[in-house]
Amino acid sequence: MELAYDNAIEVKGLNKKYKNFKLNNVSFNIPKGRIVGFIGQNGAGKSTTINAILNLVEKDSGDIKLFGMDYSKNSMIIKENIGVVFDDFNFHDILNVKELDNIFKRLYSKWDAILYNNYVNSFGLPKNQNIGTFSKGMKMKLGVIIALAQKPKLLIMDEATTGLDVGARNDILDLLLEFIQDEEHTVFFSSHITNDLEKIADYILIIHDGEIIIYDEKDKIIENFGILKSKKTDFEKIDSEDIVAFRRNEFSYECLVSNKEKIQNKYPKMIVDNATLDDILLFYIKGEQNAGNSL
Amino acid sequence: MQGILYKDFSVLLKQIKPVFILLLIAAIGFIIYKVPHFGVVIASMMVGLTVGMIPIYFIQSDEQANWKKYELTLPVSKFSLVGSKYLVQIMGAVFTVLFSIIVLILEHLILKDVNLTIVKTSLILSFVGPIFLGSFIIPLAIKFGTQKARFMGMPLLFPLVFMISSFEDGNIAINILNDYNSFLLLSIALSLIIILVSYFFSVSLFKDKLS
Repeated sequence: MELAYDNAIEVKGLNKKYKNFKLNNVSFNIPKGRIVGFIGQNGAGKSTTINAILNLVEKDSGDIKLFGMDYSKNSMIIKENIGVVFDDFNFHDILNVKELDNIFKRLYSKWDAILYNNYVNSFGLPKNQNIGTFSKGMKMKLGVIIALAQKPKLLIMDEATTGLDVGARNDILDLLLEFIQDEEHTVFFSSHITNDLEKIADYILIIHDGEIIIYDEKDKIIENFGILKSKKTDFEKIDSEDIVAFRRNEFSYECLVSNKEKIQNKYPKMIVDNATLDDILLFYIKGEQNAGNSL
Repeated sequence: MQGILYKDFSVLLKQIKPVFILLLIAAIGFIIYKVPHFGVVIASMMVGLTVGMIPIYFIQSDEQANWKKYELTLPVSKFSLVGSKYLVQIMGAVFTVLFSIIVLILEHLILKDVNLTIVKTSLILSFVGPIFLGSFIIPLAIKFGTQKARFMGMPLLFPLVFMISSFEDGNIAINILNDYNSFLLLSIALSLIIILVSYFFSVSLFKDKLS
């Protein structure tokens, strides 16, 4: 069945309450053919959001559509077109690569055994060895290969590169870039390793305390956000509306600003540095907001 | 569903071979040294008990491999995910019957004697035993997890152990076997009803757990 859609994922007003945490009115769209990085500290709500998208937890309220369809009414079509990689490896240690091929070709109608074996060979994964003997990097590569061999339209990865060395992470990022070449494919990739997302993501979605705080093109975020550095005495002169969040040091203040160029022009004597995604996240987590510019 | 079954059998075959070889050796020991004829029934029940506990093993190995969350993303319905455990259970019961046939053949070769009543009883009990045990164990494991289900399933072993001991004690066994046709028919009918009820109950527990 050919799927016709503009957004691979549409989330509208998603709410989910747990004892000590809640997702609060989460809304976003993931456009077709893009890599969207999903950032947030541990416990910010990334996995809960992904679990809700995958219908693994029941939402309290809100609307989620995948490929323009409701999960409850079209679960089989949707599942056939989604590849999923979780942070914990999900396969039995006593199985081997060949057996996984045999299992998945019986589960997915579009399973591509040739693609699977090509990737397995190119990464040098042993085919007859129990996967329990694999390193974490090898296991996660295998997890991504399995997801790609299902020929999905949408790949959802939840912290799949966490705990991997740079080499293994780069191999996985290369696989994602290859997957995305065809503009029909979409990747939704949660991680707290922002370097990975800065390399490959088209859009960045940032969640903090269960709320979406930023969602924009990655280049725009990096271009617009900056860190304004001021002395304690100058801090009072900064308009509070210009500051997204700020951090106090012993002798100075650092302010996260969302319009770097405008701020630089407005405060020409102060320095505005570039902000990385890590910086932005850190300001939201550790910084102070809406406090007014009082010393 | 085929993929899930293939996975379950791949995992099972790699782990359980030595167990059944040991049980086969034990069964031969029973035939030769302990209780000819009834030894076959005892051996079948032993295998039946082992097979009856297989769902616990499956669910536990799925938990250890973090498979349980992943399988919900597969294009397989919740009915099939639960149903696969019952299918394995039924196939396990069929395997137990085959095991009993092997033991009966061995008995015939060793003792040069066959008791038709024992053959029928052994074959039917080897089917009913695992079905009965599995039908209680699967919903318990889904609802409470494998650790608790293992303990909660212990009382279920008493009636089965009683049945085994009744075969060791000739009088009780003979009393049962005198009316064995109705006893066996009732057992089969009851086990089929139990497995059906258990399946729908498990599906409902599975859905509840997700919500």
